[in-house]
Amino acid sequence: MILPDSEKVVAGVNRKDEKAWKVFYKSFYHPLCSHCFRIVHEEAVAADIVQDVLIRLWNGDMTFENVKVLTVYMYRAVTNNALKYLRDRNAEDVRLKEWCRREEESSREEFSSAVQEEVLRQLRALIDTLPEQRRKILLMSMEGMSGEEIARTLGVTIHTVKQQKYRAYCFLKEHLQHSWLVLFLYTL
Amino acid sequence: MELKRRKHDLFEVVRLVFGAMTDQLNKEEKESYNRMMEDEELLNNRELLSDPHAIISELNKSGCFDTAGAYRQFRLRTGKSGKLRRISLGWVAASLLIPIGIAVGVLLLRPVEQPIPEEPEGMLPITSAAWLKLSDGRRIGLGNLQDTLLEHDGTRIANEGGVLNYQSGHKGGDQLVYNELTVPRGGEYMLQLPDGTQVWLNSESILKYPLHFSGTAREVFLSGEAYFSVTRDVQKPFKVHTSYGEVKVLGTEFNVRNYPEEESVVTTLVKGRVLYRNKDNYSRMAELSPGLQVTDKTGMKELELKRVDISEFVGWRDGLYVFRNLTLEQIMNTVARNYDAEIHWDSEEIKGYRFSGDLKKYEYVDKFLNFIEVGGDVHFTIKGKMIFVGKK
Repeated sequence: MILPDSEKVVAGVNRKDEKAWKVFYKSFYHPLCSHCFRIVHEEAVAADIVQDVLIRLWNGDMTFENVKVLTVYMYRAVTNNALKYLRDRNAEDVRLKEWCRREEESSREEFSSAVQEEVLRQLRALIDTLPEQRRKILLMSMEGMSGEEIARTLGVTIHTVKQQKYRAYCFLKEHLQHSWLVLFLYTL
Repeated sequence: MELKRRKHDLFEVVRLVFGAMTDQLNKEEKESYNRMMEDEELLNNRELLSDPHAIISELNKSGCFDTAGAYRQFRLRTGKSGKLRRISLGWVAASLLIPIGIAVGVLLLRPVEQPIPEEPEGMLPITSAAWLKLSDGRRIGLGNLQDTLLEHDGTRIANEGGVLNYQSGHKGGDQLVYNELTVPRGGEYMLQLPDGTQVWLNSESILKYPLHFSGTAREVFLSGEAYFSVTRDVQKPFKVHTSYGEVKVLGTEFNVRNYPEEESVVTTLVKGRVLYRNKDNYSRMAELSPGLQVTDKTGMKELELKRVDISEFVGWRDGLYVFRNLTLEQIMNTVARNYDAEIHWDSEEIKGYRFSGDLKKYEYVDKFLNFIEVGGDVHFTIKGKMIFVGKK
């Protein structure tokens, strides 16, 4: 399986290339919204803040050296804008205190949220590169369905389910080992 | 740029979580993982992160945020096609910024999907546009915006439309942190380093420099062309590193030209005293006094040392290129660099024709080309960003 080079996606994001932006957007939109929701506690507001950050990035001329810089920038920008939203509402909010950084160190809330969202984002990206049948079998078995149930639902033999499940797990195991190198796994 | 807490980096933590999930951590990593999971102050979701089933069930939550719908909205709000936005040919006439003698033009950003209008006025050089790479890896486009950037060590960088000004906020520590200023074809930029040294950076040039100078020397790295006016500091000599060798000074004014395609480094001294030294062969060195120029060139046995008319080599800083008996190829290279033009030659022979003349930067290039046409056997046709050179 050929995995697209994440640095190519970053270069495309820098160049405002539409294909690269689609990959980037689809990979980051949901994690950033979840991250933002933890701060503002309102879904619609979270979605608006994330959309604004993405639009501003598209319209601006900031570029990024690599995928890590881009990733950190996205979480940081969303945190900052969410906190600004709370401040502008004059919210006497404990969240303002919890999420604010002191100097260079990230707050526990921000750091925990970013870790969780990155774990989920990268895992999802990895699973999405699997062939369709293998991905379905993996997700169903992760949900706790038995091999027989999966076989019945998909109309395949139990042997196929076992084989595909085994391959999917091998794939995950192999790639998670160096997942910090393979952050973008959607096919371009 | 990093996201860190209690010395743990975001990506390192994510990697350890995955490693633990798939039971692939070595002894050292395991210890580090355990320490991380015991630290109450680090994460507030340790339970979830240490339980693969919890992670998977989070993964299966479809969530309430509609990515596809949001992406459609995004496309609508950013224009129907996401074509490359590029610095286009649009122009507002350049205005001169007198105090420092650098013209500052207004650069128009226009999406390329709009039809590019004809340019009846001709070709003007772009004046101040550049890229600044900060120490955390971000690259920022510098236009004519007035803006202040803050580096993490407290250094303030004021961008005043064509001029970058560094005010040190250094709090100690000897580790050098670098910024990099890139000036594209057609651009130019001036910057003032924290020690007061002023640098004029010409088109298609890159200068890398630390946010503060520590140790025994002030060292910067140049590709392209720059004019330096160095603040005197006997304790800390100033060194310009080029692809061939270094120029060492105490406090003086000089010009260094080191474009890769010219395969040479040319140092011209205006004031004071400088020492040029080849980086591979230290005995290949020369000391300059004002008015002298040293050239180090691939394939040349010895350094070439000669007395020159300084204005020919440093005039670009004041907007004037003086060409004295240069080949048309040399002249057109300078034109291409300053006007971001592409040169097309009808024949190889004309490249070697020699001309003299003054090119005033910030003027339309036609005027200069006409001048050469009148006096020589060549003629020019301008189409968009291309200049075609042919025999009369």
